[in-house]
Order: sequence, then C-alpha cells, then structure tokens
Amino acid sequence: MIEWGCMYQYIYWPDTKSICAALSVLAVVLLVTILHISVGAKSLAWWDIYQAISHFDSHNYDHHIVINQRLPRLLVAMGCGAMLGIAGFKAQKLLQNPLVSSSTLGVNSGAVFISLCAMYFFNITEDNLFLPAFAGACLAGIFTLSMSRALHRSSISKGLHIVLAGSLVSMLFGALSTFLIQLDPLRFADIQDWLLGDIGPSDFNDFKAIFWLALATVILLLSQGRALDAMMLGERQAQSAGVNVKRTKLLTLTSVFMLASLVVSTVGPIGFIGLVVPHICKVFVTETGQIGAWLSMLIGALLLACADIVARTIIAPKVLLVGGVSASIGSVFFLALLYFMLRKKSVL
Amino acid sequence: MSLQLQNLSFGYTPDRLILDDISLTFNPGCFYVILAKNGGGKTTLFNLIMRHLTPTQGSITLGPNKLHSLSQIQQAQAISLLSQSMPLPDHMSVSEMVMQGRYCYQSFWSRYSVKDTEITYQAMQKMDITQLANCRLDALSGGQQQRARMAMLLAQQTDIVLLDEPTSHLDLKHQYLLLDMGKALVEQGKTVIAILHDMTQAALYADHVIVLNGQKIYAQGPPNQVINNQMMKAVFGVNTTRVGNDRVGVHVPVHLLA
Repeated sequence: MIEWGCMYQYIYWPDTKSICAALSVLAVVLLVTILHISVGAKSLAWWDIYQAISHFDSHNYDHHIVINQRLPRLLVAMGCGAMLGIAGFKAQKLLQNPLVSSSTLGVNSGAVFISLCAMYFFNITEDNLFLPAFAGACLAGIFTLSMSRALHRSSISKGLHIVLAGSLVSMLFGALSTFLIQLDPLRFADIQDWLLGDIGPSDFNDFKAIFWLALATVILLLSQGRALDAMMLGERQAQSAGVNVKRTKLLTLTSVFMLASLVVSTVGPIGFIGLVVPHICKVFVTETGQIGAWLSMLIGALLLACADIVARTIIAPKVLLVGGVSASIGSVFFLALLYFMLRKKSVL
Repeated sequence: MSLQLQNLSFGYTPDRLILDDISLTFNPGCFYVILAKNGGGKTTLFNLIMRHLTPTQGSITLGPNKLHSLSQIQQAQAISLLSQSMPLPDHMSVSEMVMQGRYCYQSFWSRYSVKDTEITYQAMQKMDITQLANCRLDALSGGQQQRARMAMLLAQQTDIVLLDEPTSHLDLKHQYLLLDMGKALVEQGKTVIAILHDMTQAALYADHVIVLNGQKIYAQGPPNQVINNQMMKAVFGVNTTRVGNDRVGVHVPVHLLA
C-alpha cells in the first residue's frame, strides 16, 4: 500500500475538519436567515419567526410579515446572490483574471440597456425582460472580450486589458441608457429602483419564473468544472489533456452571461457580489475541484442577504436600494484590490 | 497503435512552408528522436500531431482512424505531450496539476477515484516529486516544474508520448531519470517521440533517429548510421569528429581537438 496522505483531498473523506467546517457553515446560514427575517422596520422576535413558519396564523400580522414579505425577500436575495457568486467565480477562473465579474465586464450595463430598448421600442413589460437582458449581456460581453483582444498589442499590462475594455463598454451602455431614459422620463419613472438594483415586493414571482432556468444554468456551469481546472494550465495543455477548449469556453461564458441577465431581469444590476466572492472563496479552499463552486454560491447568497439587511436597517424605517449598498461597498473593494495588485505587480 | 504521417505539409503562408511533404511512421515499442536546428520545424510537427495546428496538406492517421475524426478525449487517451512552454498557474499544487492528467478518463458524472489518485501518486513517485505534492507551482524551480509536467504526462497513460526537449532545465541526474523513464515506457510497448538537442543522448537512447532539415527529412535510421560527420556538417553547420568506441561516441568540434 502506498503512502498517500498528501492526496487525501481528492477522495471523499469526512474527517473532523470537514465536519466542523460544514457545521459552522450551517450555523452562519441559520444566523443570517434569522437576522434577515427579524430585523427591519418592525423587529420580530425569533420565537415569532419559528411560530410563523411552523403554525401559520392568518390573523396574526407578524406572521404575514414573515411569510409574505421577509421570507420571499430573503429567498430572492439568496438566490440572486448565489447566481452572482458562481458566475463571478467561474468567470474569474476561465479568464484567469481576479478583477473580472459581470459588472466589470460591462455585461450588466449591456443587459440593462437592451432591456430599456425593449421596453421603449416594443412596449415589453417589466416582467418579461429576460430575453432582451440576455441579448444585451451577450452583446456587451462579446464586445468587451473582442476589445480586450484588440488591446493585446498595446503596452497596457496583461490583466488590465479586459478591465479597461469592460469599463469602457459599461460607460458606453450606461450613457446610452441615460439617453434613452431622457427621451421619455415618465415612461421609465416607475423603474428607477430596478435600474439601480432593488429587491421589490413583486420580485419573488419573477424569481419563481426564472428559478428552473437558473438551476439548469448552474448545473451546466458545474459540469464544466473539471474542464476549467485543466484550462488553468493554458489552452494547449488543456487540449492535450483532453479538454474541448472551444466548447468549454462557449458554455462557460454563455452560462455566466445567462446568470447575469437572469439577475438583471429579476432585481436589476447588482455589482460587487460576483467580484468579491471568488476572493473570499480562495481564503478557504483551493481553486481546483468542485468545492469552490459550491462555496461561491453559498457566500454569494450570504453576502447579498447581508447587503439586504444593511439596506433595510441603516436608515430604517426607510429602505435603501440593495444595489446601491453593494455597489458602494464593491467599488471601494475593487479600488483596494487594484491598488494592492498593482503594488505587488505579480498578478497583472 | 502506430502513428502515421502522410505527405504532411504545413506553412503559415502557402509560399513559405515550414514542413514540406513529410511522411513518417511511428511504431509501438520504439524510441524515436527528432533532430533539427532551431526553427527546423520540430515543434511544428508536434503541434500538428496534437492538432494545435491544421496541416496545409496531407493527413495523420492513428491506427485505423484519421486523427481529425477522433474526439479530443479519445486523442488525449492515445497521445500525450510534454510541452516546452506551459504556463503554470500560481494557485495550484503539484498534486492537483498531476491529477489533471487523469482528465481524459472521467465521464460526465464521475469524480476522481481512488484509482486515479493511486496512478497520480505513482507518477509523482516515478518523477521523484512526492515530497513536493502540496507545494504551489510558482514555488518550484524550473527543473521541479519540468518533472511535475512529466508526472502529469505519466498519469495520462497514453500509448504515444511526445517529449518536446524534455531535458531542458533539468540537472544531470534528472535528465537521465527522465530519459530512462522514456526508455521504460518503450519497453512497455509504448511509442516515445522526443525532440533532443544532445547528440550523445540521442545516440544512447534512440532506436530510430529522424533528422529534419530545410522543411524535408534529411535522413532517418538507427543512430549510428544517421549521426555522422557529414550530417553534423550539413544540418548543424559544425565540423565534428567522433570520439569513442564502437558503442558509445561523442561528436566533438574539430577545432577544439587541434
């Protein structure tokens, strides 16, 4: 028998360490769930939350808040957070660039712009925005990727091509969106919240509508996990290891754009989550293997739920837009990341 | 399975060919060494076999099949390449990298099994890098990286093994460790095709030497017939003379002996 203590991570081995990790993850999820439901304009006791879920009483107003308001909101936040988390994780892995996410690629702005176009020119309602959002996401993504390829010959350091291209594309679509809104401000007055990213009362129905598509996309992304591991060694080496490089790239990018546009069509453009989740994941697990993808979904869900808690409590009883909260934390994080990476000069 | 190249030509532009009408057969159980000067089309030949490049003319067959009709997985189970240049990601450990050699044996739902892990571990043992298993790739020296690449290739367990300058970056002990590994693979009935720069190592290990010069095959055959003073002069532009006995010899530049 060979000694292969160093190889344990490839085999399912429920040692004490992984059991402790699983338990603490469960505890954190439970804590965030209870916190999210209990705090807000009206604070609720933990016991009431338990009662509302186990013995729902339709005459009790608190139970209505739990079941019909906060629980759906939590589910939307967690679902969208998970989608953004795994999309960011896989995008950073495929492009081997720690600054990539659906917002920095300009994908979100593209999705918003084409959605606005669909609403303005074809009178599509806010509930049916998925297809235009997906078209916009793909358009912006392809635009950014081809532009970053064109920048390859320039003197800009390698990792920054795509970020530069992404921010230019983002600006372009942002400006076009502003232009479109000014053409008919009244028409767009009631979607101001959506434009900045907000979890509203009707979003739960939108979320239910996209749930199965989102699940299928996530499964598709997970199925490409091993191929993406091999792609870390470069395209040619991955190819000689047996990876169909073109197919993997196509499927991964399409899925990432799909998840981004699903989130945009449900709650609006939400930055930060996709960018920061992979960095948190790297603290806990190695980049190869499937565990990182699962963890990225979990952390994404927790982060967006926490952002939502902040949005609802910081100026209570008023509610901030969750997109605004995450974007403001996100841009600070992005600047810090860029600063430290440029100082280290190793990654970019 | 034998690998056959039929009338293979390749050039990035049609008027400047890098390889012109090359026909070769690689049989199992034989150690092939390809010799050529820099820019002589050796790596291009490997890239064509690995399908990184598409031939301008001619075809490649693997056993009964045309190579381009195989899926990427089928090809990876048959042919592996030790590449000269391979970017190494920072956040990957040696054992994780070697494990990538098992990619082509996974199905959609499977996960890396105990057997995969065993094969990976044995490959690392053969390349003498088990003590580095959990080291990050960017912490390794050039030679250790080269051994990790070779271990990944061994884990892939293919019948045909392409080695592109396998001894570069290695110290003497590991140069011979790696070439001995090639020899052991040949004894198991596999095909090894190596690009080497060292004539002495070529003469010691090769069963069959192929010399490429000016887009064509200059000569091929057993090393003691092919590696001679005329060839060294014509292909590499060095006047040499052979020093040694019947079995082992070294080609030394003439002006150094005077």
